[in-house]
Amino acid sequence: MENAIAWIFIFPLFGSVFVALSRYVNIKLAYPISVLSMAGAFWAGVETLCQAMASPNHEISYLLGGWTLDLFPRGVGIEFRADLLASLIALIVLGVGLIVTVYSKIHVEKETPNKEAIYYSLMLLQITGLAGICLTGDAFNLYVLIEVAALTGYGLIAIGSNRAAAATFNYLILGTIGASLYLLGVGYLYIKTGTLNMVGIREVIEANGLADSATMQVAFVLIGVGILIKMAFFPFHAWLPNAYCNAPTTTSCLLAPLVTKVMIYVMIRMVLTVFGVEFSFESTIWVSWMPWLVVIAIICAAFLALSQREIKRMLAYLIVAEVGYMVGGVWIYNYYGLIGSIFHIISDACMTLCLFLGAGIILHKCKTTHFDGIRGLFSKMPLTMIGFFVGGFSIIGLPPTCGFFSKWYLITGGMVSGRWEYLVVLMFSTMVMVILFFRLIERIHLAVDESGKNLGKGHGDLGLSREQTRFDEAPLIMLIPLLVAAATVIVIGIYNQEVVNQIETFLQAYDLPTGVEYK
Amino acid sequence: MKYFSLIPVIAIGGLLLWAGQDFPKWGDVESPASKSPVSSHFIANTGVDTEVPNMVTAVLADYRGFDTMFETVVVFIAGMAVIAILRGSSVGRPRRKDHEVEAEPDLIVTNTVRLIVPVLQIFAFYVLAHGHVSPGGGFQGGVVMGASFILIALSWDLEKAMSRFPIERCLFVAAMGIVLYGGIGLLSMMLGGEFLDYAELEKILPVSREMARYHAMLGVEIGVGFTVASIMFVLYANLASEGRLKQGL
Amino acid sequence: MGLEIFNTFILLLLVVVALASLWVRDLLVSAVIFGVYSFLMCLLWAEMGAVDVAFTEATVGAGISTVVLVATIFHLRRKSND
Repeated sequence: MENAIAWIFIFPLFGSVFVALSRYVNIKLAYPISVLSMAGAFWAGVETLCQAMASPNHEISYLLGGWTLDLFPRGVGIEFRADLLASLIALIVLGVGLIVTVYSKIHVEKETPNKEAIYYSLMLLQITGLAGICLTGDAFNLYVLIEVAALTGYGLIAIGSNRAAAATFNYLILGTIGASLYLLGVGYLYIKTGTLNMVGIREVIEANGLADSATMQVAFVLIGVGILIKMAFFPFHAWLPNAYCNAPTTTSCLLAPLVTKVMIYVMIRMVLTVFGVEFSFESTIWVSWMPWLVVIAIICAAFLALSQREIKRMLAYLIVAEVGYMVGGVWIYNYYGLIGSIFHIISDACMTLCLFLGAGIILHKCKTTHFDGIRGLFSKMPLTMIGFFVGGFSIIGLPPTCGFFSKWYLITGGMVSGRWEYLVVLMFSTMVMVILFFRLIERIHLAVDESGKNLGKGHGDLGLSREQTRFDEAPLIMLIPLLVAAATVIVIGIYNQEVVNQIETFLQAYDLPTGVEYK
Repeated sequence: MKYFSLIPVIAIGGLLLWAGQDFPKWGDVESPASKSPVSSHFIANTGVDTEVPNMVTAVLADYRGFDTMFETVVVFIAGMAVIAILRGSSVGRPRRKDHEVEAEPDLIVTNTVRLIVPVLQIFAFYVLAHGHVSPGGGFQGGVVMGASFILIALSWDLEKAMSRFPIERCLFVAAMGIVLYGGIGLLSMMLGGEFLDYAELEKILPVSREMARYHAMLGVEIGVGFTVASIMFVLYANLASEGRLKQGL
Repeated sequence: MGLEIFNTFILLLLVVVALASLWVRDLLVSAVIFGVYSFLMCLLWAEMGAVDVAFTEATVGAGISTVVLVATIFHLRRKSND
């Protein structure tokens, strides 16, 4: 299929419009239309990845509007470029989108009554925006798509309750500042290079020797800080926990695995493709102090996660810590670190999805995600808990889940580049995550009370009434997406070499240090 | 706190000023942005490629038509998000009374608006349709169109404006705008080109490739106008009445 | 030369208007000053020859967004806290 890459955004875009129109016909059509269009988009994503792998230089270029690429800085129109990185991340976005769309039915009917059509429509547009961000090859088009993703995000979070609306307001202000900084940076790039195509910008930078230009340096800072705000990097994370905790369940399931990770993808894209390795790592001072910021970020986020008494809020702080991992993987300036960072985007999307889907089911069944309300849940919902803890084990980094392998590459990168501070903090936060999840396991499996005293009388006795331990699993429409997500975590872990091979093929085009550098 | 926030503001301001040191001179023909092959291509070839005299419209709706499509989608999202947030949010809260005016709509105001609105709407169509030749286009035309309904709502009340343009119909029209824009893109893809490659429409239009682009751009601008006009009114109607869609200001 | 004076004048006025919109306590006044700001920007665009942008700025910036801001402020307390 020749236009597969275009179908990736055509399916959800038209799907969302038809969902919005379904309220004039029959509101019940909203859910099937969304699932169908997401399935179509997922198929297009698979097709795009296959095409990118099959093509000789491992990328496909799609020229929207049919304008040529012949001019020196790559053409006058907008280009979609699906190299291996872009199509991998886009596939993950579409896969997560499909799973969440299938999962959403009961939650949406319950939490946003009478607004289903608008909700699904915004959800599909969110996925359109995120997938578009991955695939676009144009710096300004990226801004437009970031706006699409951000605005739908505000709508999706605020739709739930008035409290969610208040949380959204913070998100809106910070998100707008981030996007404006990015736009300013793109404007500065255009002033100095005269093109908006990502590869074109790098070609001009290299051809004209713009590395020392003050304008370029400032453009780099503006774009970098804008993206850091958008990805909730530690000092800028303030919007994330409240927004994700007060949002409707499906929204947090969709946004938590995707938004921050896609923004990290944008950072990698900016560093590698737009500014180029030489400019980003050699001509700026970010390499020397970003890892230290990452250290602070991970430690603070880990402690904040440790102090939470509610699953969703704890997971929100875990995301902030994970963002620190991936940013660190980029800025330790190392081949293995970048492999780890990219692989961690993929695995973190899958495992965060597991955890949030699990938390959503807990919320649906127990009406709370507070630590006190989940005692002995394993005997009630064993399958849900298995899915949830597959995600948890992956966050800790236990083999054979994919979290182990991505962390492995991050640690290798830290060692090879001699960034011991990053290494130590990775180990430290792994310990914290062990505590976090074993605390949960303790409550869910062993039924201990607040002081740690076992409530049961003997082995296997949870001290709960028969009513509380009766098998009462979640509906299949929620359970199957969770189990699929958990299976994905394990499958990506087992076949990690296949994924890493693709990432390595992508990174071979860039000149990154692989050996030890003694300073 | 107020003065604490001065620090980032001054930092960013200083950064921006510092970046200005190696800007090209104002209006410099040698600056990269004016000299680059991209802008030269627009200047030299817009007329040849698309037959559109107004270069800005050609860049907006054709060369970078994909951006414009998503800008329209952003407007659509804004409308939907406002409805999603405000509908039902004010249930149980009393309506504020302190600025309500009981008097009849003012005679002078309503009569002036009665005169202005038809002219305004014709002007909106002119701006939209004439965007190829003179400044204007879908966004501006749509906003003027939306403003005419807002004017009615301001001078009478929201019910009067909504009897002309109900909110349900607004959403329908807005969605149709997107369908029109995306549909033209999809159609040109179905006819063998890339998405939004309007030139392929020559196969079904009795015109040359260039004129096909010209006409497709008009269609696209109409789509933008639909969405923008209706969403502007939706935004006003929802915000002015806290989502109740009654009485308004 | 004349143009430069015009530009400088408008740019200075822009800064003043921007500060004024932050300074005033009444949100309604602030919204109206925002309209003034957009209109000055519109003048500046038109002077630079970007008539399309000027048109958009006049309709969207000075027109619709002011109306929407005013419509929202009518449902709030008019005085700002800081």
